[in-house]
Formats: sequence, C-alpha cells, structure tokens
Amino acid sequence: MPTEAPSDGDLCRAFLAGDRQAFGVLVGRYQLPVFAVVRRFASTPEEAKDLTQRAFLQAFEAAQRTLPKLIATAGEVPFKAWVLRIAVNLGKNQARDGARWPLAPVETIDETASSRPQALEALEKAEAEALTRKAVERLPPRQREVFSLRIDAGLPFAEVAEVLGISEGNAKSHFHYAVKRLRDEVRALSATPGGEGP
Amino acid sequence: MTCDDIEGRLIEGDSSAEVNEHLAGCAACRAFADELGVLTAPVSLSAADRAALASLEADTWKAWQQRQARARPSWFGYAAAAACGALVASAGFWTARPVREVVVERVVEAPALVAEAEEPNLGPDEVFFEVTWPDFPEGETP
Repeated sequence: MPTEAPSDGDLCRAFLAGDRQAFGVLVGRYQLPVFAVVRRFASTPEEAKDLTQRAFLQAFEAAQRTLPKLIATAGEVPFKAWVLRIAVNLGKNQARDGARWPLAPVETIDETASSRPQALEALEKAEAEALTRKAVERLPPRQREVFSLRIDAGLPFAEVAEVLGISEGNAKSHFHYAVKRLRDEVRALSATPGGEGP
Repeated sequence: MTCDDIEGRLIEGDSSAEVNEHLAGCAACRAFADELGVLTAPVSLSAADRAALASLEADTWKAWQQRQARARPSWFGYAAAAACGALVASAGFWTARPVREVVVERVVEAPALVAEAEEPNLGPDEVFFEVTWPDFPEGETP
C-alpha cells in the first residue's frame, strides 16, 4: 500500500525538531529546480552550488523564525515558494554584481556524444543554448525571473505567480514578452559574427 | 483560430488537440513551435554541475550546523553576559542608593537666662542664711 509523501510543512516541522532525515528529503526535493534557476546566473557549477546552498540555508532560517507559528498551526508551509524566491533574488544579485555570464564551455556540455552525427547535433544544441543564455541575460529583470522559474524550475504559471507575488495573468504576460524578446535577440545574435551583439 | 492565437497558446505550453491540428496544417506555426522548443529548453547540466549537486545535501547540512553553532551562545558567552549584567545592576543600585540628607544646624548662643543673684547687702555683723524647706523622704513627713 503506497504511503503518501510527507508535505513540506511536515518535513519542516520534523527537521526543526531535530530530524536530520527530513532535512535531506526537503533538500533532495527542491535542489534540482533551485540549482537550475541559479545556474543561469552563475558562472561556474561551484558558484551555482554556493548560491543553491545559501538559498536553502536562508529558507530554513525563515522556517526557524516562524517555528512557533509552524508548531501552533497545522497550516501549509510555502517552503518551495520561499526557497525559489530566495534563489531568484540571490541569482539577481549575482547578475547585478556583474560577475556573470561567461558561458559554460561547449565540451563540458558535449560529454555524452560519441558518434559524429550525435556530436554535431549536440554542438548545435549547445550553441543554440549558449545564444539563448546570452539573450536571457538581456531580458528585463522581471521577465528574466519569470522565464527562469517557468523554464528552469519548471513551475506552472500559478506557482511562478506565487513565488514572485504577482498575478497569474501578469506572470503569463511577462513570459509572453520574454519569449518574443528572446526570439528577436537570438535572431540578432545569430546574425552577428561570433554571436556577440551590441 | 489564428496563427497569433496559436503562438500565444504554444508559449503557454498548450499542447491540446486543437493546437496540434493547427500545427499539422500550418508550416509557419510549426517553425515557431520548433524555435520555441529551442528558446525554452532548460539549461543543460554538465558533468561538473551534476558533481556539484551530488555533494550539495551533505555540504548544506554541514553549513547549517556551523550556522547553528555560531548562533548558539557558548558557556563563556553566558558567563560574560551574566558578569556584564551584574556590573550594570550594581552600578544601578549604587547610583539609586538613598543618600542621607546633611542638615547644618546653626548654634545660637542663648542669652544668659538667669541673672546673677545679687549679693545681699549685709553689715559686718550680719549673716545671710539661705533657708529652704528640707526634703523629707516619703513617709517621714513631720
């Protein structure tokens, strides 16, 4: 008989009561979307890991601060929204601090390709991805946040809206503008030798 | 449904039969869907990314424990805080202690209340006797 997975709230309460395993489950549950979100803003995997770690630590501290309320009420804990919101902010700060956007070397992306056609396909994919990453950098901050949460974290629009504290319609609207702008940017970058825009 | 409508629905991730039907008959929208697939592809994680993720949970746990240890005051901290508290309290008591009021009394020399008795004016053969009523002990009154 399948047992239901514990909710984020249950795991938070258990962790704050000293359950090490609950910590592991929570981190394991959200590490991939959080890492994917900050990866767009970080220049190296280590930097992305550091940002991911900070996002989790800040989210757990937020949970600890609201501990009495958490214990008193059986209400749902928006841990996912917290940690992703923090990740977006950390990523934004990282980008603002200007350390970002040398692209990941193609050879590290192309590790699984063995045969020549596969290698070419992977190379094209990597190039397209590099162009897109460069174009995402040029998006206005809100559009970039929405795009990253939707694409990298894989959130539905309702959750993107919850994380950013905006309406679902607003999130959709930002995403529409982001995609259209990206399309224009990528076309412009593709037309420029070396993919470097103005 | 127009191509603009389809674009909007594709952007929102709609893959309904209606959208697919339109795509089957519209090369422009198919091209847009392909382009969209490239634009909205998640960032590929490299082997180095996966390696960083593999140790993330254990490292985050270590960092959490370190933060908690820093946030928790040590016994030395408690002792220092208690000593500071005692010092502040004693300083407070010292400044708030009751102070005895100093009263300066002015001593005024009173004028002589009793004038010196005048010597009786007696002749050479006169004797002055001061006659007083004797004090008898109680019960021996004459």
